[in-house]
Amino acid sequence: MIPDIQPMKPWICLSAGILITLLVSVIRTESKRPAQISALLTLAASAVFGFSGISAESQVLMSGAFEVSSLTLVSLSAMCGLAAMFILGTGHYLSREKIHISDYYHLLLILVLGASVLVASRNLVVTFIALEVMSLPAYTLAGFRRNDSRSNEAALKYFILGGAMGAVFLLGSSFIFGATGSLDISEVFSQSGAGSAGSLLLYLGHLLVMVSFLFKVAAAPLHFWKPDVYEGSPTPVSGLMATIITSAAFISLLRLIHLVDFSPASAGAYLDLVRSTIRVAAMGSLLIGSMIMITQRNLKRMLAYSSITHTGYLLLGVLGSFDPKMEITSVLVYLLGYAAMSTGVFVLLSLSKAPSDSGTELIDLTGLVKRAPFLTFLWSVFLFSMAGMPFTVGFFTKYLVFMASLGGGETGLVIVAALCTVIGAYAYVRPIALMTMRDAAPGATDWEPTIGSQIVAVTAAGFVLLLGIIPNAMIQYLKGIPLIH
Amino acid sequence: MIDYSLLAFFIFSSIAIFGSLMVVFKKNPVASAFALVAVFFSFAGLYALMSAHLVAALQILVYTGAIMVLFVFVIMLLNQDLPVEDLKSSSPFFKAVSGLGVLVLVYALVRVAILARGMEPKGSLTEDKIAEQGGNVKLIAESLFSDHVLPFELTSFLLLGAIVATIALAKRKNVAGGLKS
Repeated sequence: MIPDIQPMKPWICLSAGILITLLVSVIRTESKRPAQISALLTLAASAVFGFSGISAESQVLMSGAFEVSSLTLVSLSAMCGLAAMFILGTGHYLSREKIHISDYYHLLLILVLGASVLVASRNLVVTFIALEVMSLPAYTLAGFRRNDSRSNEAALKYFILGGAMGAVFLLGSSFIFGATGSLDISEVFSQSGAGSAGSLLLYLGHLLVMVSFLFKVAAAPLHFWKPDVYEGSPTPVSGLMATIITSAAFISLLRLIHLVDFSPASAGAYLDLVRSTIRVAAMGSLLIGSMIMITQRNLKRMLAYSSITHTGYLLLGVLGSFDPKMEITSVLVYLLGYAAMSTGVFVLLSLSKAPSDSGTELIDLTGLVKRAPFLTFLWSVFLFSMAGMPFTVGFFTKYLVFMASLGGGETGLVIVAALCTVIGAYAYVRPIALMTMRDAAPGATDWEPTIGSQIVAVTAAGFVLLLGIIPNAMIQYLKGIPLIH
Repeated sequence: MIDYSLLAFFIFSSIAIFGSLMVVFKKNPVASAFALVAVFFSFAGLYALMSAHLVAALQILVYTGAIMVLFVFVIMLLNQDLPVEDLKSSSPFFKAVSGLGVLVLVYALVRVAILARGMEPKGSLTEDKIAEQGGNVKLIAESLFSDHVLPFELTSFLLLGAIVATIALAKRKNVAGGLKS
């Protein structure tokens, strides 16, 4: 019996590319260029396979463990695109930090493989292994600046906490297995409505699984690792965490939340518990993220708190996904928009020539309009989009999650979120004011715009503006994508 | 008529509990390591009692064979002239916190055991069916390479990633001001 693996072509292409990249770099050890080119070709090939494979119907392969559908194929292609943008846009940073080595590209590809399988997984075992395949390269890449103690700290902190949370996930899935006798997501769903004696065990397991994913997306109160990890990691790696890992974890989180059939009356009390857990996490992330963000002087720490705030907004969309059932358009649109602006911001941040031991501070942005007017424009586009200004994608993404959440009856939470948007706007507008209205402070670092990074940043900015002005096409496209077939 | 499996359960469990206590309380790390070997062996016995013979064999091969050797290597490499940490000298606060933590965990364990008492094992395979279809090893091998081939292959990428990651972090390079020895 040979399973039909034809629809899995994009993932197989990615896996084969990892092995080829490894071989290429072994043959030509003295240069990192072959590995870089091989990684780019791999990502391009699987993105092309992914895009060409998108069709209306979806397939479930590997005894129900793997889903090939528009959701998974779009995610895979987007992740490949994001990884390629980071490779193209941040080569100069890697060279400057002396971490431009072939291993970087292997680990990056393995991270993308893990993230794309995580999105496609319909089985708790596959989800766990994919989560580890995604996280292990991330732990390592966080520590790639080996001579910097903060990078070591970031790697160790991320590794230990991530490992502990992996154990929580395993504990939860073993409870789920004990209660339902199945690890298959659709089977657990169909059995969970029965209201049997095992319900309590099932709910406990479900809660633990959910908590481990809330850690991965850094929702409060499990957010504390994020600023340190972002600050210590190499800038492109922080960007990968903000884009690829956040997106994969959120899509998987949505799937796992809807693992339990909430419709029977017996599950009503548990549904309330899940909703209030997410509500508390969303409110905490929004308040903590935006309050602390305005006090930060280090740009990377500021972006870390900013991403905690964005996790809060995304959780609003998750709350909206309960009612009407499994409507996830707002979350998908938000993830896409947030990935575009994060890519831009982190690529721009990697242009700073600040010594890595002190990091890039807000003061390094002063007077940038006179030194590099085009960079100032790009920075402004991304920061305005993060703040949620109209005519950028950030406005529509926020609008959609607010609407989804209002539809779910979360009026109070939406008011808090709107207030946090106002607080956050101060943090995002302040760098723009420093860039345009102040002269360069003494000791402000130079910025070194390279061709590759500018092309990438312009692409991301084009995406942010285009989708901000005509968002309907994207929203209509993503609306047709269901969560579970 | 004595229930031998019950007797064996009590023997193995008491060895496991006694061994675990020795792991914690022995001051000599090598003695702790050997107590851990006893724990692993008694666990293998417990698995065998649950008719999980393959898991029992793997437990001995992997844990007592491979992982214990690693432990002993680490002890050999690290434990050169370090002063031995004496648990009695740790702060009362630390003792209280860890004691409380242990109590909470024991309570949770007992609660879960009580909760799970009335529950039947779910799933299609019973002990008789497994024996009918050729035993544990055959069934696991078949499902590993048919139903679970995806996690199996994915694990190989996890290991590949781990190898690359280890080499990337551990190899010494001549970078300016870098790790050089």
